[in-house]
Amino acid sequence: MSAIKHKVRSGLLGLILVLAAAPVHAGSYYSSRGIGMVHYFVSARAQGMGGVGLATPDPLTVNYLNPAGIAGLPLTTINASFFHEATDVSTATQSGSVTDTDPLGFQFVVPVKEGMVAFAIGLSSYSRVEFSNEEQRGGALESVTGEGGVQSASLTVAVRPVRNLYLGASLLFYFGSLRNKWTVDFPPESGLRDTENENALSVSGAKFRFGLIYRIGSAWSLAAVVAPAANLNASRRVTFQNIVEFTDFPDSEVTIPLAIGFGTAVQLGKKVLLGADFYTQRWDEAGLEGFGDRSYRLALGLEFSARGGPFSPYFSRAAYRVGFQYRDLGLEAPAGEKVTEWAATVGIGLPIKWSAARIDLALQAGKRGSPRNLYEETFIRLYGGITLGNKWFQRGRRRP
Amino acid sequence: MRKNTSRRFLSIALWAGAVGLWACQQDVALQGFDPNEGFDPDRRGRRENRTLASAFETTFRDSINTTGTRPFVSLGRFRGLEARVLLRFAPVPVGLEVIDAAILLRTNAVIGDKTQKTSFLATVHEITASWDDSTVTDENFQDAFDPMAIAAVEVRSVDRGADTSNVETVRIALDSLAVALVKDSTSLFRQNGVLLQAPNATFIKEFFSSNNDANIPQLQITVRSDTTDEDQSLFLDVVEDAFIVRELEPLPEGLLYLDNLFTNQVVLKFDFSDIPREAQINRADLRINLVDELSIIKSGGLRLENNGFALEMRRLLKEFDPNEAPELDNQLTVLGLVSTPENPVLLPGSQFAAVFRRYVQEWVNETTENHGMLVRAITPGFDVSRLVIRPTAQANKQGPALEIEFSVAPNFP
Repeated sequence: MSAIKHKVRSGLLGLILVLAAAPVHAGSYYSSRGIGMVHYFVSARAQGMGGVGLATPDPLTVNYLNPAGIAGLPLTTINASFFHEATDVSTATQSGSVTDTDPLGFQFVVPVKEGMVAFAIGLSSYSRVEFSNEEQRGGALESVTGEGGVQSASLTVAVRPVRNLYLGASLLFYFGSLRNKWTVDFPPESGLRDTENENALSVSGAKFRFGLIYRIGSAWSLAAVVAPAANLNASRRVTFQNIVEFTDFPDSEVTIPLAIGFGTAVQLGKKVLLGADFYTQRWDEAGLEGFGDRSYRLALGLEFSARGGPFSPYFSRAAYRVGFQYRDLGLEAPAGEKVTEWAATVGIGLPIKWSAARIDLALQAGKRGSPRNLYEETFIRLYGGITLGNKWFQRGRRRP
Repeated sequence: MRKNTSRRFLSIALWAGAVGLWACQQDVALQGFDPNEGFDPDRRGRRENRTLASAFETTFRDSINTTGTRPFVSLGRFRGLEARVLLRFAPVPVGLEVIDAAILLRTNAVIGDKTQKTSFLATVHEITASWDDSTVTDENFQDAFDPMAIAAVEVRSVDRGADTSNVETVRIALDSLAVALVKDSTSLFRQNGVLLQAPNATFIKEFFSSNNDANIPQLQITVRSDTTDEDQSLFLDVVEDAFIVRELEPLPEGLLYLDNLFTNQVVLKFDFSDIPREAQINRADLRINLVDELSIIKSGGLRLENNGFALEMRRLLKEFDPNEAPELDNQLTVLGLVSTPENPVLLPGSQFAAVFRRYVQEWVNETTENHGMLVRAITPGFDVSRLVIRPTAQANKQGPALEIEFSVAPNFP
């Protein structure tokens, strides 16, 4: 048995090394449309299960997408998550690559009444723009680069009004800027001043997200989230050489459309958790160029918890995850064909201190788009999250 | 137990190495901006160029500049200008017997048609009224000299040539009557000095003045010593000198003038309404065409920076009013040099290209009000140089124009 576990661990590590050494790279051409590539980030644990996490609460999982998920946290909990992505982009005639590393989120959860009421504040990345085109002509190097994205700050309250029901609501403050940099580097002998132009759209606004988790018995959970549509104020800024700045453009609006998600999870025995999520958003109603349909994401995942005791070997206390997700971006640009994405994931949960802290890592590999969409992208993402729990702010039990 | 710990550290090291290897890869951008390959054309700006004819142009002059503090004095006639030289020398030491004298002038440059080798006769006259080299001009001098020449010399149209160490000396020998004036401390020669003129000249010869450390004009006198009974040469430096210039005939109307002596200046204004406000200026040049047969551009001076016509361009802070002194932006000055009359002339040249581009940038971006700019000499009173610029009205596409290359910001987002 020990030999088998060792082989599994070695294989997992080997897979990561092979993938890391491959010429993989990212961002995405498709992030040039709309408000960028939207992260449907639930938790680093969930990413190891293909993104399944709406209905999988656990004592060390801080849920970013379903506010009801924090109601059952027994400890004051801090979570920070990041991701690194590398994408190879290819078209019929050429190829490119982009890498991107960014924080995904931070949450601080305080259970006011253990397992019953919790509050949380947090920051998370909602969308990301990262792509680059360039051309060398006549000695001048011209490039167009997309950067930035939308972030959200959140205030969450979650309650467990009855034994099997968890409810939560988040007030989300969206902010960020979508930047388009256009530069032309002229050869020195031309006597031309280089062009350095940055167009930015700064957005800000608020919206709500609601969620619930309902447990049927001790092994089955159902979950739902809904985030009504909201309009964000958008203001345009044009900057040259970081010196001249124009901001006197008429304000506009960017719509974050209605999003609805459903999830379920089943505990099979003591060690295996099986789950599925479905999440959809009405990007077709956002009025963004190129988005002709709603987006949806379907995810399936499995977690194996070795459930080793305090004195068991280290890796027998870890959790191992696999998953798969399929996503329709709702995007039909640039070729008028639906842009879809699939990804397979593996993940691992590494306890730092028994039952009070954990590192979750997930590796996701997949493909986005196809030659019919003009851009075919293969990507690898590494998700990482660290969660620490402690009894801060919690009163000790009164003696009778 | 130790084996397990080692394995754990090895695993962590491998993980860290793998992540590091992965994270260090460089981005490779897609090549090209072809919309047929899916590039969103709204994300790319566009580059354009434009030649703007001046929307407003005028020329004006105010007071005549003085020349007494400049490093040169000019003598002769060229292209409607007559230049005359005023000199006053240090007094002859008391007790010396002057037996001979000559005026020495050292040549800096010849201003004229270089292909024509010629000469002119310069005459020397006593000045009949006192003058001050810091204020004297042709206007206030009022021909205060004795028309009877006391000496004359032939001045040839040669300068130093390429050999900068070879300075030609023009020696104007004084005859016995003139030497008597040198001896006499009450003579006009001794009191007021002399004027040099050349009414029949076809070129102008430029000499070094007292404001030049070397090659100063001098009065060479030969004196006889009472003790040794031997002749001895003494050199008396000029103590005051200037050149006065007058226009022999009025300049043609309708042209645009810039010069060092008569404060001719030009105001130009361009209309940028055709250029998007969100444009970045990559290049801006002022293009002018000179009227060669009227322009006077010096070349061949001792120091290269003395050659050509040095000008400055300054933005106007309010609309030009011919009845008021122009209000100028003194924060940013653009300097330019026109060293040959080859058309077209592009200003300001590479050294001040960034500042001039900033003028245009701020006008286009509307961060500075566009009232146009003033173009004038940076060296008033320096020499007889003059630029005559073809105006828009008289010259088919040869009037002052602004050549600009610019980048217009993308439409996105």
